[in-house]
Amino acid sequence: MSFTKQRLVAAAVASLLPFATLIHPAWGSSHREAPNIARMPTLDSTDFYLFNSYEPGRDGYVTLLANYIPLQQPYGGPNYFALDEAGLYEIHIDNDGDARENLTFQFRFDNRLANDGRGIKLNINGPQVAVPLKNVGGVTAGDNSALNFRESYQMWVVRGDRRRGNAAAVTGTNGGTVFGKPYDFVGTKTFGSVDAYKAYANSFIYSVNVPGCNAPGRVFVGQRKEGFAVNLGKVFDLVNLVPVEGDSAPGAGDGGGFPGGITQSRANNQVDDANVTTIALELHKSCLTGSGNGVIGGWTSASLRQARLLNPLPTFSRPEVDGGPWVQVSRLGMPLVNELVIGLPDKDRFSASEPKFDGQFATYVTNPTLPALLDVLFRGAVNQTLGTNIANLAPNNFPRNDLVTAFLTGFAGVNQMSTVTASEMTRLNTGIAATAAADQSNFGVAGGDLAGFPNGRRPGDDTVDIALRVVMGRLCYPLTLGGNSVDLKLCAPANAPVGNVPFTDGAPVSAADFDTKFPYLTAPLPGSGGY
Amino acid sequence: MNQHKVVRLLPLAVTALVVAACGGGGGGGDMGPPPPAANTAPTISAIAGKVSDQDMVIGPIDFSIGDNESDAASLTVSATADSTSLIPADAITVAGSGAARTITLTPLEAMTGTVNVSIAVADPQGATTTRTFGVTVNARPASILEWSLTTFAKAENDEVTVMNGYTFEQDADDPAIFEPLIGMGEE
Repeated sequence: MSFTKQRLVAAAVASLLPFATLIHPAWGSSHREAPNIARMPTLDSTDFYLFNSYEPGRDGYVTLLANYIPLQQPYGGPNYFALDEAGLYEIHIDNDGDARENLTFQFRFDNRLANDGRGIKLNINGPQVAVPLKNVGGVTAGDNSALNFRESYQMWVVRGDRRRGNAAAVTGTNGGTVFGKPYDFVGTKTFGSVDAYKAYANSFIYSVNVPGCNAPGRVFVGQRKEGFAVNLGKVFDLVNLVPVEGDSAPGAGDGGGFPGGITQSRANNQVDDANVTTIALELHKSCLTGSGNGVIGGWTSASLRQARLLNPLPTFSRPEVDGGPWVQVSRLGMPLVNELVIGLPDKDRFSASEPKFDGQFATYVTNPTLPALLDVLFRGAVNQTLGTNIANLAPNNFPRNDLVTAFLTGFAGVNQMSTVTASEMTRLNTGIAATAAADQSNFGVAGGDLAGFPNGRRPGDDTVDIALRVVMGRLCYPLTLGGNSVDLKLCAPANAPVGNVPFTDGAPVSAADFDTKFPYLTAPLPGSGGY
Repeated sequence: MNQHKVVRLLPLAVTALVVAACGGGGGGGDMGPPPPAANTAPTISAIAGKVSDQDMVIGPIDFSIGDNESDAASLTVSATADSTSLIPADAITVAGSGAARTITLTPLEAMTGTVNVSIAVADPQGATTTRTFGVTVNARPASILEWSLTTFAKAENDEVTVMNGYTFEQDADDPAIFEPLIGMGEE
């Protein structure tokens, strides 16, 4: 299915039906978003990106990035941040709109000690004694002999139901099924320099053959610098900032915006000093779209075996015994859904649920609490500052069909599948050509860039600001798409007294913050040494 | 509680008024205009007691309401439980319309016991009728040992072992039970 921007805009304008249009308000990410997954950081998905590859020469390819292990401080030695070999990490694709996965890419990890599992040992006055560290010398792409901790993984594609479908191993160009994962960036002394680490990590980008796909893909799993940008501490301290653009233009610093409003600054991004672990996959779209209309929905999940027996005398390879069927403990499609939409009593259930069962959470979307909380926090200040008498900052169009459409369906003509099943996932139209990094708008579709969020999600899309605005009623006001004013007719300006306010957390992000080639997310911050 | 007093007292007051207007007491004279019809309390159908296992949603339970003087749609229905430690107010959902209504109860997780649930229906004149039925929520015991071994025996892609709705009995205190699974004892 081929689209031009003009056709897309026309389609969007023409299809102003409930559940038929909209902008996805994925507000960001999901770091430690639910009580149970906060206990299991190695399985905690933090962000999920799905976009048409914009690396030059990769037209027709789709990139999928699933980030895990939140808020990694780069200096977190000596064990750093290995993925969990007891876990099953998955990326799911629905390509026909029934909210059920048609394709699942599974990843399972294996962490071993060097020296055939015995670990590197030193002769200490006679006895050979195992060292306590994961590396005892420099590590390069060509020499990992000083690396005491070796990480690898295998990958499968499952067609059909993720548990009952047909699974086949993904192979490398040499036919192998085991892929290496780079050691975390412990510092520049270990790896020589940032550039040397980049070269080292890039040596773990593999060309792979996925059974059933005509073109080879690429895969990489390893540590990356956190790409998400958010004023995290202040947001969760009862929004301890004035979350409105404070300048006449973002970053202008002239105080010409909302009185007391925040100024855009990278210093406001409180996760700018953290790393994550990325599972990155790039496949040709023909491998993903199936028989649908070219729009695919994606999400990631992590699971553990249901039974676990802690070993009272643990060894390196057996701290526990796991058994039984897989139980999902983490899920992420549209980020921040579980963080700020789902009620606390149901967060763990959401983590364990699948899109096909999302009807049980509908009330959290139709009658959201976040706008009401923001009203409580800011109504008085807003009225005092502006001399207004706004009775309630929160939109009053209930049920919030604007959010239902945003969270659970897609934007007709842009990222809506041929069959519409209300469910939470990131939807991407693979037929919309990617926008080059230099030309991307970090406001995605709302910024006139149809290749961006909510048509999928790219690393440079500022989903926090978009989401803040959408939840407060931005979609009740016309959007400018392709130079045209588009009224989605999901609600009216009268429903959202502050829906046209430029809400922001003041933590900017754009495509310029990332690489322009796979896996796009930049090299991780070092545990020591400069970046 | 005031509403309950109204239910009891109103018929008496109306009766007295009718008697007086009709010249009760044997005096003759003009009958005058007919007195206003007495308002009768609305009705609720009977609801049998319910018995459920723990952690189960009870209902929706159908019941019907009616009133001689008012349309069923104008009647107000509310419900309470006499033990909020088992069924708090926000765990009771009354739905339906007209004469056909439903009540759904969601007992608190892992809680058991017996409560009385009262449904009150009020007409626009303020007359109220209350119907009460008992709800018993029983524990469903489960053996940790049995559950664990059953679950360990399953394959990766088997159906998960459902855990909600059970009270687990700690019958596996002896770690030695699981030693064969771990396969390593301290020497």
